[in-house]
Amino acid sequence: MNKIETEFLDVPKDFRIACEAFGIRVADFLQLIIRHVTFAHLFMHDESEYDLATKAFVQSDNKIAKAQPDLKGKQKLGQHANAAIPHIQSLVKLSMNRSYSKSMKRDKGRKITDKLYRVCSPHIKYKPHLYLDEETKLTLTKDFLLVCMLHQFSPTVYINVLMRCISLADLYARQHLDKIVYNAALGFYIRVQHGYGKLIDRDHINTLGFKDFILDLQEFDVRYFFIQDLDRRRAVYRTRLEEIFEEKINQYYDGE
Amino acid sequence: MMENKISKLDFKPDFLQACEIFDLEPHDVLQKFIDNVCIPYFIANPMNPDRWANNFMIQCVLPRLESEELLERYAVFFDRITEAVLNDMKNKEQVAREIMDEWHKAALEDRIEDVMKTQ
Repeated sequence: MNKIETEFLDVPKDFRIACEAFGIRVADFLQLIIRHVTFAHLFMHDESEYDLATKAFVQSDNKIAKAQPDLKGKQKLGQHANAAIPHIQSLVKLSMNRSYSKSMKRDKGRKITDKLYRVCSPHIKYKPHLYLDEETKLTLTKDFLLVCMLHQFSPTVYINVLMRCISLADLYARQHLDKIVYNAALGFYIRVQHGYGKLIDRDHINTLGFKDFILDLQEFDVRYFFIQDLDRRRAVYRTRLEEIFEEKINQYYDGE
Repeated sequence: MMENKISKLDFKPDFLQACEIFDLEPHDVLQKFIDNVCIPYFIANPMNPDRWANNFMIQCVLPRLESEELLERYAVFFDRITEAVLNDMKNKEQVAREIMDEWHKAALEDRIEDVMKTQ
């Protein structure tokens, strides 16, 4: 695994293809998932996009900490614990309360999170904005910053790792070999690809380039049926996806 | 040679209708499909415009590949074909054909062995 970039947002090619091939702007996707991160979902579980977004960021904690322990922050939180712990206890209690619906829990959780943020914000050293490029600014929400602080990973590291979890090559290779594993980031991406958040450029979906892209993609399992090893299947899919993305999608945009 | 069961085929009305409107013999239609199936060629030329019959054939094969037992038993053949294709061997069609001939032999032998075991 390549080193995770810590200074700037480093958009992997797989992630860019997953977004742009389906007419989704990278910045729009990132902003949507960041806005869906809900601190209270660290303590509860449901099938919502909020849950997927939150788990999407924290799912790789152990993997990052093992591979690159230097990325884990060293900020001691003990001195703020007295003020913060009662709010975290309230969140845990709320998560176990069966009298509230899931959306009610989320709303109440948001209020508790606001209180927690007021306690913690003086100690959060991350800026509330990040730049994808010179002109594209991402707004980091309170919930997202709190998740970053509690898990001791900078927003840049967290977003860079999240982007690595979204790959069409990996998705289809696993799907076709029946080796699917839980991946909340991909789960959120699939919902967006199916229309959630209305990020898809409908004009793009109607282009000949996109239709050719999809037709090619639909033949992957038949064309490469003999490759039964996951890594090799993923690598072959990646190569072909990059080729058709360049031929069908980028070429179309160049010709516009 | 596998038994020819074509006379026992159940021709659905939609298939027969298309054949009758365009004056096609069902047998000729099926023969055209059969003539176009060549997996070694498809493995070596997966994007050939004439891939339709092979495409359909592999669609029929895919559910069989859900069997762990089959994958384990014939892993060596999958791996050898993968090697030939990924290393972009010049004669990959010929190599794929030789591997599939061996595979065919192994599959038939295994089937006989299975039958013997159950008796």
